[in-house]
Amino acid sequence: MASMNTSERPAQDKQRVPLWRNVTFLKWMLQIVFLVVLVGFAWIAIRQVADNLRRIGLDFSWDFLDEPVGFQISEGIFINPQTGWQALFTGMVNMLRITISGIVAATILGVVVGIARLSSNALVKGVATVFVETIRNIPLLVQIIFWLAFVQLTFPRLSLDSGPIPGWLYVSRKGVSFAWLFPQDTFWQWVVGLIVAWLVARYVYRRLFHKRELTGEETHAGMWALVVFLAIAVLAWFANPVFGVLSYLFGAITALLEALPTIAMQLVLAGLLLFAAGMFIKRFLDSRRTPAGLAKLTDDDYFRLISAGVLGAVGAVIALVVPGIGEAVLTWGARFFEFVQGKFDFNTGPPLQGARPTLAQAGLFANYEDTGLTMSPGFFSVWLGVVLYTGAFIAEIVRGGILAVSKGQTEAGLAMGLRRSQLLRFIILPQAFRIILPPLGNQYLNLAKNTSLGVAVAFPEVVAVGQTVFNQRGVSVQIILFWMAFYLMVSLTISVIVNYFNRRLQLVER
Amino acid sequence: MSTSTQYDAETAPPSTALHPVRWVRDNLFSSWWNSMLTVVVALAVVGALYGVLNFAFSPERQWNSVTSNIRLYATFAYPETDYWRVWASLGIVVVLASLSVAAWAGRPEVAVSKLIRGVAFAGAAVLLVFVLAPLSGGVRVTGLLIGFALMALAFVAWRTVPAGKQVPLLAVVAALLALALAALWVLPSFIEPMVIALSTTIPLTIQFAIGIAAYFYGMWLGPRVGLQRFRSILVGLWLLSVPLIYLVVLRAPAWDWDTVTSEDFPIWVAFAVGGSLLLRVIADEERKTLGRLVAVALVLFAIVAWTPLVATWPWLPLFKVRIPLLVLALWAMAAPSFGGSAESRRSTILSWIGIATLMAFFLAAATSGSGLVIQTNFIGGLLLTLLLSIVSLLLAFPLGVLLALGRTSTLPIFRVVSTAYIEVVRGVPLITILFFGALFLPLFLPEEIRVDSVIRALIAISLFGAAYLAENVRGGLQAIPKGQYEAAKAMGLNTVQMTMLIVLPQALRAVIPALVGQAIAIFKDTSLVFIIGLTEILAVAQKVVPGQPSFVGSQRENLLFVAFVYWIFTFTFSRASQRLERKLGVGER
Amino acid sequence: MMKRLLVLLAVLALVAAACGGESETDDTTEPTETTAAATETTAATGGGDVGQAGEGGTLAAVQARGTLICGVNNGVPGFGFVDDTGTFSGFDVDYCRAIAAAVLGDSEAVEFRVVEAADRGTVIQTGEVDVLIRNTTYTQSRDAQWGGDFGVTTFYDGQGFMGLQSAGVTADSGPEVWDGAVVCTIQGTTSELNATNLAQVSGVTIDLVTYADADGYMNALQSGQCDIATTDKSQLASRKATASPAEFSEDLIIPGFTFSKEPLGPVYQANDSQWGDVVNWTVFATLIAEEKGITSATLADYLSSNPDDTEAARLFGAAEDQLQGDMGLDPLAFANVITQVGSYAEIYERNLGPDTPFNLPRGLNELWSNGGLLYPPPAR
Repeated sequence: MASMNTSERPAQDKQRVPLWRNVTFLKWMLQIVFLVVLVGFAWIAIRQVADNLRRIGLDFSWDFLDEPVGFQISEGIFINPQTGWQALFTGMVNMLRITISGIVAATILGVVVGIARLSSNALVKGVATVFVETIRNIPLLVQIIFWLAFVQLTFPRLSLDSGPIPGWLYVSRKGVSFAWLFPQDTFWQWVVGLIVAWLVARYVYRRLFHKRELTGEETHAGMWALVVFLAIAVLAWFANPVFGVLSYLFGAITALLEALPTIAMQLVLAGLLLFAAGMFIKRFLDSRRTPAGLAKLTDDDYFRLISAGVLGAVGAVIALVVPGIGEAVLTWGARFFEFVQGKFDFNTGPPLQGARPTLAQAGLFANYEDTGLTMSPGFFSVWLGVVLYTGAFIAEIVRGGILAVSKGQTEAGLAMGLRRSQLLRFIILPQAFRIILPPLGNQYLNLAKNTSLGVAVAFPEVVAVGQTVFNQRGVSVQIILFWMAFYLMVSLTISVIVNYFNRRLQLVER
Repeated sequence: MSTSTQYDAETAPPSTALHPVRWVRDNLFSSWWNSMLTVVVALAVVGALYGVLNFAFSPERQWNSVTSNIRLYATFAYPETDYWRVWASLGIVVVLASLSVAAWAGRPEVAVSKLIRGVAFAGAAVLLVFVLAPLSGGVRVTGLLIGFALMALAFVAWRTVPAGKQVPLLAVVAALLALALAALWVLPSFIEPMVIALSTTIPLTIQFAIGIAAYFYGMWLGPRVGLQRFRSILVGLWLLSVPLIYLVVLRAPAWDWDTVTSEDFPIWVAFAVGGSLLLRVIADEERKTLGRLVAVALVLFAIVAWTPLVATWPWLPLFKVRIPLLVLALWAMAAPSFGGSAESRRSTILSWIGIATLMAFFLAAATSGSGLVIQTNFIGGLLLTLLLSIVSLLLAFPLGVLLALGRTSTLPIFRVVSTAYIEVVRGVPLITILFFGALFLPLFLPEEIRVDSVIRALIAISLFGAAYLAENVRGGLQAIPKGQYEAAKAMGLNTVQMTMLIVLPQALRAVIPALVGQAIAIFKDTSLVFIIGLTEILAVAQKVVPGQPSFVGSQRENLLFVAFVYWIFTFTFSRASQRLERKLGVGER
Repeated sequence: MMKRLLVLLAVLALVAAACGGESETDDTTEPTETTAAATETTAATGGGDVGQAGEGGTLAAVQARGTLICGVNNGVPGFGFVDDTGTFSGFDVDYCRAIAAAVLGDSEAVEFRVVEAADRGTVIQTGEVDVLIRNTTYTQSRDAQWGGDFGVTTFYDGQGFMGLQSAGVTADSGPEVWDGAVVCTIQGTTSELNATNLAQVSGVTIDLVTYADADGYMNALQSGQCDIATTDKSQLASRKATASPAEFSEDLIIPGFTFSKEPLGPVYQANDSQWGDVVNWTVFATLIAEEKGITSATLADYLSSNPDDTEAARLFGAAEDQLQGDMGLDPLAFANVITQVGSYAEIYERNLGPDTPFNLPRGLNELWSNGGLLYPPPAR
């Protein structure tokens, strides 16, 4: 920050200033004291927790992850989880399902409502305003419970002759079940084909675009790229077993990891860490290099360089001293590649297979078979709840973003003879998007966190499942740490993705 | 007057904007696309409204479960014999609010045309509701008549009142409140099962009268005291009112005079006298370096006082010593920066004595037992919701400012720690932090210490809110032009002075709307405290009322009611914040 | 001015922050001061030979505090709920009051702490409540993992299920009707485990949906989102009795089939046998009173008209050789329980009996002499 340079100056005449007036010394002293106090309190707290746990007779073990849990989950990957880990994993996947589909839907809804709030039609504008002001101002928990009530009160009961489109789509109080494409054994072989298609199409697009820029002749770059992509994708649909060849590659990696002695892995890990630290330092110095030589480094720069170096070195030493880490990387790596290898087994058949929902009545009650894709009432309520709630906030962000695009842009666009819809699409939204992306990222984070309310409507996401596990097993402390770690991971992933787009979208002005 | 109305309505521009037919044509059916949109949206709205009304007015709904549990909603299990305390608290808030309206709002006016439009819309809404709702003939006719009456009133007003006429807004608000109050008195005699006890209506009427009186008193007092000074005093009173209401009025401390004379009083004297002497030495222009070193030593000592290292010392482990000690240490840190002239030194010392006295009083109140005969946490329902939101906001605010300063600081360790804290807290749901508070807090503390659930919720929500507030404040800090820093430096201010006098005031003013938004978010988030066994207003609706044998299965109507209560509060807040935003002219960058 | 105001505001906020922390004091300083007082009180009430009571533990803490902290439910009709004046009531709540009457001589000296189903283990582990009486099933895993001990069972329950007659469920239905059904229950309870287990052993596939509360599964059952609701039979019966509208309530049926044992009782922190004795003998006292036909109104009469019943005389403090003193209690402790709260029969009738909306038959919760399971040890 700006104050840095000014505060640096006294440091130059060090010998004349007594130590306790030396700003640099005082700053570092202050920070170190702060760190010591912080670490001290943390240490006292942790010791206290350990003491208390011992006193109550609780052991802090993670064994429950591998032990049977004995309860069933209403929906997800493992309906009958065999271990604690499988139960939590099911909850995590359920949470991610809502988060990902919810982010897409909330964005669309938010943009539509945000534009509607600026509509020239008074009714549309009014309804959009009422929608935003109602949804934003009521706790989400209440809304989610009401969406469940909505399903329970308005949807029809399920019977064998339910509809509305028998064999394709069923809507009932037991959920919505519809036809869907499901990945088959050959799916991943086809995905590799798609990646290849995308790479080739990108190459074609760039070549043609470049040519157009040079010659000015219309080359239809986008169209050709699409044609090439589709052609290869269709080809790969039928020829996907070709990519089964990859199984040899992954098999070889697995074999290598299994054969490698632990010490080799330790060396590799240590080397990698040191290399990463070295690269960071080199890049950092490069970035500070000006034509006039290396710029003066601030305290902060030194801190970064030193901590990068120290972290790299400490990491390398730990990797070398603790053989368990190398071993874990080896075994989990081998397991992972073995798992991947299994996806490329020269399987034949179409990569995706459509399946239609079916109804069955084993005893007294009609129920969905798991052939189609079924959206349970719990899923529906949480999903709709977070989508509407987040959508209302996004609408306000979009509205603000559009209003922030200067009026001159609108006038210029209209002067060029653009229609209102064209104006919105080509002039306003692209510029507004740049403004709204950072707050949008915050809303995505909120959406992910708000899925934790699923327990209120019997949707088994990770908090609900975790609560059941800790209630049955008494492992509350572990489950809370597990939740926090999981949510942090999801939040960080969302942040990284949003930041990536944010960087790409920023105007390079200066 | 009335003879010229016809003429005015046809020529004057404001009146044409009000002309209903033209308004409808311009705003709803301006093009075929707009007309289609209008029809589709109108059908959707009518459909949705029909569904909601059918649900709300269905004979299956047990709405009496809401009306007979209003007390649980307001205060949960607050003892009936001490109910006057709740009214007294409300009275304090009403008086302060009225004075504040006098101090800040003055005499705002509102255009009559706006009111007329409001009445017309209300009439239309009433008509729509009573047409769509599944009601018996008599009730429907009554409702329709009311709707038509409102519409007719609006129409007559539109024809008679000259365009552009303004009326005082506060008078309108007061009239509406008076109308609502009158309804409380009158309605029960018309609607059969409705009973409103005099113990509700009488205090509410008194509060209304007090509020109006306080407003006029404020209007009279303000100019005499000086408006700026009046406002500063009010801000101070608002801040004081929170601990006063919570610790003294509602909690009803049972003063133990032995403890007060043997502990609280000596501690107060020691801090007031000792602290003043210390500050007098430290704030001296001549001994700045020495003063700083003493202050740093005091801070370190105050921190050490919180560790088990001094657990066996006399006095020191007491919270009523630790807290003033910490505040004194911080005061001493700041004193050399603001000391200097004899006058500022005197004000430093005097303000310390004031703070020490207030702290001693509230600490004594908090450490004495409660005089209430309680069944559970003495506070619950809406009262708890409001208390949690306000106090946690007050607690989160300083922490958030510190975190924001830390995150934008040039000192790397502060920055890393603040950033890590903010990102971790923002990355996890509040529900996990509340579980953390419920489970970990008792584990962190020694066996003999029990922390009250309300305090636990306060800590958890404050820690959570601080991270979000910090991000808002950081936005404000980053919006400050570089020149401000440079100018401050050039004036010879040091970092503390620069931050407190130049940077923070500007940064905080820039983010007031964002802070209000955060306050609303915290208000809604308090609905999760049922996890630690507290019964705020949502828990009453979700569990308590449906758990009563006479109202089993009434969860949905109760939740609808609570949603409405939340909506009223948050909607008012957000409207107020939008007004504030316009007034401050921020957010229009 | 604005600046000074903001600075003042910031400082005051800091102070407010400090003041917020201070309320902890309330709870923090007390225990240190009270431990000493505790010993005194116990010594005073317990009479001569109360060696073990003086060592602290929950009993001493409760007596010093003057209130009992009891973990309860606030949303189970009949067992633990709050009426519209804010008074806690119910079967479980009455046992909290009974313990308070025994320990403190005042059934009103209870501070109720609402505990969520999923947090029951934690409040026991951390000692946040003195005793937890909240529809808690006694199981081996809970006994072993919660860090608590279970007291004597106050209510014998068993898991059953409830369905709709209109859907074909009859009084004789068994697990076979579960096949292909959506089964609803409450999250974090033993019901969840039992239902999973029953489906597995009976070889039926079910879809198990777990709601946070009873209103959740009742709404689901009524709407047809769930086909079957399963949990403790007492709860099912009380829900059936209070369901609205009447057609729905009449359509509900609870088959006779029971597939688990659910002994519900108090839980307290582990390794505190003195406190365990107090809790358990409070329950036993209510049972013994019922055995002898004593009620809150007739205790004094009974003692004066039956001088030969030395057991009653001892238990209710009318005889010299009473044993309450040895437990660290007042000689009249259990007499207070009966006069202030009542016998088991009275507690049951008041909360679940024919005069309540639930009208639950006593079933297993009859005295042993009437074919039930309630069999209190002799007070000798």
